[in-house]
Amino acid sequence: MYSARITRLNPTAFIFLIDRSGSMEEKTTFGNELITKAEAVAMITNMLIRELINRCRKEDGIMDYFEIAAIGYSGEKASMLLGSGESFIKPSTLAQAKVRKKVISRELVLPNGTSVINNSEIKYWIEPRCEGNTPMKSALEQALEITSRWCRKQSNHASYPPTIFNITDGEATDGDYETLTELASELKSLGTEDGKTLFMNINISSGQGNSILFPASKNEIPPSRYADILYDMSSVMPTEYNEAILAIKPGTIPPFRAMGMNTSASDLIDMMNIGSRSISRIL
Amino acid sequence: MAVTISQYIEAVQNPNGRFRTLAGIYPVTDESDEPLMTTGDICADFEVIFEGKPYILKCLLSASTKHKEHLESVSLFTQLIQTPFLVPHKYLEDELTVFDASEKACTVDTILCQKPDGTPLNRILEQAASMNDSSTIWNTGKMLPKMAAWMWDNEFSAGSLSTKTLFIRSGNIPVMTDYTYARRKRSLTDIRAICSLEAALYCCACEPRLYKTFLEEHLTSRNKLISLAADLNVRLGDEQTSTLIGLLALLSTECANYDEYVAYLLELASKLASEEPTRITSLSDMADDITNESDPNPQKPKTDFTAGKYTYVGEPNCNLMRAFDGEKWCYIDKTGKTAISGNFIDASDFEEDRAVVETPEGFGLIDTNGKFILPPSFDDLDWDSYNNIAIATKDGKSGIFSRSGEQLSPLCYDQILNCSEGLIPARKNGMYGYLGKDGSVAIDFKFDDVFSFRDGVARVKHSGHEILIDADGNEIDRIIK
Repeated sequence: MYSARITRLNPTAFIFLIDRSGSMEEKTTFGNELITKAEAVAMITNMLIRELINRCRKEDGIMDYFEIAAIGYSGEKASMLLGSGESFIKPSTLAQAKVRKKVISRELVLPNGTSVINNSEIKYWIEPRCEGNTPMKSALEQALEITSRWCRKQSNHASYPPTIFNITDGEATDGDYETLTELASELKSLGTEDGKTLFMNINISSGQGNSILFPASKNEIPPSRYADILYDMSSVMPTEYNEAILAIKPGTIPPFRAMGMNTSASDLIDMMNIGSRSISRIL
Repeated sequence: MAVTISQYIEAVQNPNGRFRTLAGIYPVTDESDEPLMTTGDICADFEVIFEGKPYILKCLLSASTKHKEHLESVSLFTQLIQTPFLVPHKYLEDELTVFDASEKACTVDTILCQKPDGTPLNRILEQAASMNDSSTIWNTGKMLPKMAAWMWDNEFSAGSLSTKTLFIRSGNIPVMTDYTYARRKRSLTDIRAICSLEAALYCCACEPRLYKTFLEEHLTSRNKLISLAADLNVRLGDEQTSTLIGLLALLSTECANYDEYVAYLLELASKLASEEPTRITSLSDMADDITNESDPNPQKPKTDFTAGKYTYVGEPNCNLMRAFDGEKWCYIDKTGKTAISGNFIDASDFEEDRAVVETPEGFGLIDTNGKFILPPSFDDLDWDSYNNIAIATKDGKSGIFSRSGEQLSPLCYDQILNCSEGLIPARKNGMYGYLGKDGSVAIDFKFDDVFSFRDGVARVKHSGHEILIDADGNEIDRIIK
């Protein structure tokens, strides 16, 4: 299980569910900068999309080893964020898309103590936005529909199973515990011959510290209904991911939950890097 | 923790102070100012300039110590050994500083590879073929058997030989550039690939237009070339091609004594490299056949020829192979002729004389004559050849059909999973149960969740408890958590 090689004939899928509710306007620290959570999440998701595209960059151009979808949820509904509203987009299409670019300058300190100015460019396939409610249920329903369709496709039966990241900062405004966990359970029951869909839920916070990544039990998370919902919605991480998780959580005992609580921007990057480690399975 | 490509891009774009020994290095960029790079599963390769010369900077994507050690040993070998066939690599420990998201620095190893002063073989061949230049193609291949012999004698295998990574220097000397998968051991695969390439180049020298019909895999992959060998054997009845045919035949045989096998293989390849190719009528005809396929009024009957026509051809199953021409799928037989031309959107391999195909109207099940056993009207269709049943879904509801298309159960289930030990987990109105292979309800729909049967037992959830049931649905044990 979780061992299929990723090929163009058997691609894998990445789906991003992004909370764009009003509370995402709160600030968080990213590097040395204070930016909105919406901006941080958009930047980090765009960085992962860029990584996925670059992983597909071969001698003959960009080969489509992945199918990528992004669903944003705010106001009363969820909507597709990539392309012109399609569900899955291929890396070769994303690479050619005309999107906004932003150069970010950072002052970095080298190991010998000298400072250097570092310029890097971010492409915005997903724009930051924050307004209205948190219709997470609606996002899960859309994710269920597109994941189910993807898994049913004959050519995906032998593929590495889909990975879904749900990045949020608050409780759903359109669904209760039962509805959300039931939808999540349906989502997690989908999959391929190589394994079930991996569903990661990451709560991004504006504060620093007390972050909980990949808890091994409910004892690790704060005693709150919201944390309970995210915990129960999340997949149990397959053993294939344990080595990477143990690198950031040494001394802990698996199995781990695909969940992050009170995460900072850099925690979010760590979690998404671990969650997307299947990209090294390109044949 | 493995370093991401984005971290490397950032470092290569901002090289000042980042490199321990390669001060002054800078990336080659494209028109959007992005560094030119390609990615493998072990390294990301950046085109860079150092001290005025072009290099490839290989940055490790894998954190595996095994990968590091092998790249280190191969790099050392390329520096130590004197040979024209390898481009030297230099393994640089703790060379590059990269920063993670929290701006924490760490140093990583990289590999600097000389970019050879020659031209990639694929570009030479493309140009020569377009100019109908036989002699360049033939001369290009002359040194290949020597390179293969050197590799065998020096116990070196390239691992992923390709016309893109094989450069040709002045004097037609081939030089290998990518050692990501290279090993310090003998590999028959490499020797066969080089001999395959020699054979392919000989064919192209006989008729340069043939080059366009070869896919990259046909040039270096023994298996792909063998699939052409049968065709070539039929077409090349000429005595002049006996060495070529001998070589192709030998490529497909297994051997007991590797050294003798390789010696004979290389002897044939050398003979081929020294034998001036002459135009072969049958090969020219073959190229004409392919060229004429675009002619709306061909003067002679077309000949199907797999090479070049399809971008993908599957493994033979039930004597048919699914094939993709870049737009639509069809099925071809072993001679390359179209057997079922359905213009399908998607097509699966045949299993037990049945295959699932997708048309604009939906998914259907066909037999080996291309006849629809189940019409292409379903939203999804799975063919279970082991149990001889098809699971079809339409408008969100699934049902079971037999191999002859007989409906065994109505399309009334929300979900039907894979059959195991004759019992098929299914969901209806939110509850789970099991169906038999004849479509009947074998175990009632009373469970919250169910799993497949293994050794006569299945785990199910019932009224909040996990229990084990037997094939009759009786509880045999309760799982205490």
